[in-house]
Amino acid sequence: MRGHDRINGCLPDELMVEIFSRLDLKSSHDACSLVCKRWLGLERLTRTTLRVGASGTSDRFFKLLSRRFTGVRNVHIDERLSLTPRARHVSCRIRRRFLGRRRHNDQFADAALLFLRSHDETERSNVADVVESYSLSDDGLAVLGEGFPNLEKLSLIWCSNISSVGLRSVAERCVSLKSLDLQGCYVGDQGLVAVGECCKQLEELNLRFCEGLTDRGLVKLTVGCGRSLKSLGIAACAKITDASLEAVSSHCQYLETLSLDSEFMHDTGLLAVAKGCHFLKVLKLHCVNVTDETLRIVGRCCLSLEELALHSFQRFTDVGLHSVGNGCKSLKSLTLTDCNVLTDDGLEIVATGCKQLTHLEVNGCHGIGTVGLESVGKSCPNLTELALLYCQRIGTRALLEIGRGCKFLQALHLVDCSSIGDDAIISIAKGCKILRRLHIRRCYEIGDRAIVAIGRHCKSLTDLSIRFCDRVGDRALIAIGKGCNLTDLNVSGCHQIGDRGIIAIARGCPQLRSLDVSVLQRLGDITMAKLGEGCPLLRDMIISHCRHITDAGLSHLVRNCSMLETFHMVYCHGITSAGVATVVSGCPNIKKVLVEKSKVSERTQRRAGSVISYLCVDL
Amino acid sequence: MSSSSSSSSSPPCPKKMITLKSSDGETFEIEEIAALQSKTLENMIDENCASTPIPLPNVKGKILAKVVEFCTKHAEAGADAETLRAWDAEFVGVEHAIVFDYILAANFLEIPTLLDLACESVAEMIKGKTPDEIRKFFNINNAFSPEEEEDVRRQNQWAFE
Repeated sequence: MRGHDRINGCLPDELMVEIFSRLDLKSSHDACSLVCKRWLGLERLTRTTLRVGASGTSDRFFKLLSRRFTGVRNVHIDERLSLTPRARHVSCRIRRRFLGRRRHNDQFADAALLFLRSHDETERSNVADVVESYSLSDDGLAVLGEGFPNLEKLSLIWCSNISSVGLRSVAERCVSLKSLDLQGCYVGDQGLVAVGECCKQLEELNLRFCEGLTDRGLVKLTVGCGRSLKSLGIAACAKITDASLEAVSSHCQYLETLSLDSEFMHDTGLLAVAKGCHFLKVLKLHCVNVTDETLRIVGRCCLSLEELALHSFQRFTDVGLHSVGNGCKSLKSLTLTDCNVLTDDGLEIVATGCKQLTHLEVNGCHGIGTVGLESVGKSCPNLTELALLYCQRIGTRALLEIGRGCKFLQALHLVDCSSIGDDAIISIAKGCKILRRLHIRRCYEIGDRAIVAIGRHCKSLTDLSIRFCDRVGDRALIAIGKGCNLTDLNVSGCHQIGDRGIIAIARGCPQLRSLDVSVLQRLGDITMAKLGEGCPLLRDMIISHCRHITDAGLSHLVRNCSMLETFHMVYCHGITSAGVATVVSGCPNIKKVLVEKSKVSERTQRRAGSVISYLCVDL
Repeated sequence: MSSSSSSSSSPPCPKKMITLKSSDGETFEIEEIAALQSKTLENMIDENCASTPIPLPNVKGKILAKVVEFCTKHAEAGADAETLRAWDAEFVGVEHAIVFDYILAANFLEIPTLLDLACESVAEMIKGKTPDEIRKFFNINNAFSPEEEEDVRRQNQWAFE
C-alpha cells in the first residue's frame, strides 16, 4: 500500500480539524504540525491557548503567530518567564540583592522593579536594556488585538512597557473578551474605561500590583461590564478604594466571586458589596481594616456563600464568625489565616451552623485550640480536607474526634502542631479509610506507631509527606510500602530513615512519581539502585544533602528511570560532574536540574541546549 | 442488509422501516428509530420524504451497510455501556482507509456518535507518534525544507501551552 496518501486525499479540512481537536497533549499537536504543510495549517487552527514568555513578545512574533494560530482564544503573556541566559544572570543578581529567603515569583518581580528604580545608573541601564528589549509594547498589543479578534482570555503579567493606549487598542478590537488579568502593569484608568466601553461580555477581571489604576477607571468599567461581570480580584492596587466597591455593588448584580487584598478597603465598601451582590458565592478577604460589622452583614445577606477565606484579620472577633455560622448555611469551604483574635467559640458556631463544610484550613490562629476542632469533628460529617498549620494549641483529642466523625476525609495537612501525637494519627487512620493525602511537617510527637497505622488502614493513600519528624523511622516506611500504593513521597529531614525504609518503598510503590529524601544522611547508593528497579515512573527527585550518594548510585537510578523531569542534588558531596552528566544525558525528558554550577562541565552545558528551560541556578 | 424491492406504501406494521440507496445502487432497510440517529435522515422523516428510497450519492454500498449496522446497534434498547464500548472498539478496529470513509459518511449523514468514534480512533493512531512515524503510517509525503521545519519547531517551543 505504498504511496497512497489516503488521509489527505479523502478528508476535507473541517474533518481533519475534528480529528486534531481530539488530540489532548501538546506533543501530539506539535508532531502533527511537522507532518506536512497542510497539517501545519490545519493544526494551527486548533490551538486555542498561547503562553508566551519574555523572549517572544516582539510585534513581528505576534504578527506571525496570529497568521498561523487563527483559532486562538486565550493569550497569556508572562514576562517573568523564559529569559535568555544573560537576562537570567542579571535577574539572579537582583534576586540575591533584594531577597533574603526563597520566595515565589511575585516577590521576585517586585524586586526587579525596585531594582530598576535604584540609583546605580550603570547596573540599572544594563538591566533596563535587557528587560526592555524583550518587553511587550503598546504597538505589540495593537498587533495582538488585530491578529486575534476573537480573543476570550488575556493575561498580561509584568509587562512593564505597556500603557492604556495598548489596552484600549486590544479592547476595541477584541469585543468578545471574557477574562482579563493584569499584574504588575503600568496601565492607567483610560485602559479600564476602554474595556468597560468595548467588552460587554467581560466575566472575569483580576488586578494585581496595578499602581496606575484608580477608582475612576474601575468605576467606569463596572458601569460598562456590570451585567456580565462574575468574578473580581483586586490586590495591592493602592489607589482603588471603597468607592470602587460601592460601584461594584450598584452595577455588578451577578457577581459571584470577590477576592480583595488591600489595606485601603474598609467596612463601607464591603458592606455595600454584601448588600448589593446577592449571588456572591466566594469571598476572599485580606483587608486589615475590615471589622466584624462586615461579617455580620455577610451572615445576613450572603446566603449563597460557599467559600470564605479570611486572612490577617486583627479586628475580627468570634462575633463575626457567629453571624456567618448562623446565616451562611451553604458554606462549604472556610480558610482562616492569621486571625489571632478568633477562639474556639467562633469555630464551634461555624461548625454547628454550616453542616455542608467540606474544606477547613486554620493557619496560625493562636486562639483556636482543641475544643474548636472537636466540634468540627462532631458537627461536620462531610469534611474532606483539613489543614492545621502552626496551631500549637490543637492537641490529640481534637483529631480523635475528627477520626470518629469525618469518615470522608481525603486530605489532612498538619504543620508545626507540636501537641499532636501518635494516638491522634491512629484515630485518623482507623476512621478515615479513604484518606488520600497526608502531609505532616515538624510534628515532633508523631512517630512510627502512627505511620504504621496509616499503612495498615489507609489503602487509598497516594500522597505522603512526613517532613522533619525525627521520631519516624524505617519501620514506618516498611508498613507504608506494604499497604499503600504511593505516587508522591516526601520524608525530608526524618533522620532515622535509612536504606531499609526507602528500599521498602521502592519495592512496594511502583507508581511512585515524586520522591524527596533530602537531608537523609543514611541513604546510600544501594537505595538508588533499588529505586531504579522498582519505580520506573519517577518524575521528580530531590536528594539534596545526601552525602553518601555517589555517581554510581545516580547511574543505577537513571538507567531505568527514563521519565525523570526534575532533579535536585545540591550539597551532595559524593556527586561529581560525571554524575550530573549522566542525569542530563540519560533522561530525555529532563527539564530542570538543581546543582552547583561548579559541577556542570562545559560539555553538559552544551548538551542541555535550548530545550531545557534552565539548567543551573548559581547558588 | 437486504436488497429488497422498494415499496412506496407502508402497510401498518410494528417496526417502521426506511429504505436507503447507496451511490452504487444497493438498497438497505433500516428501522426508523435507528435512522433517527442521523440528523439528515431525521429531517427527511419529519418532512415526510421518507416513504420512497432515499438516495445517498456520497456513500458507497459497502460503507452504508456498516453505517446501518452501527445505527441499529446504537438504537437497541437496554444495551449496557460496557458492551457497547467493546462493540464500538471492534467496529473501528479496521483498516484506517475504511475509518476515513466512516468519518465522511458520519459527517454527511450527521451522525454525531459515529463521527466522534471514528475521529477519536484516528486521533489514537496519531497520539504518541513522531512526525516521521505519522508520515510513514499514513503514507504522507514530507513537503518541508529543513529551514521550514526548524522554523516550525521554534514556534512550537516559544508558544508553549
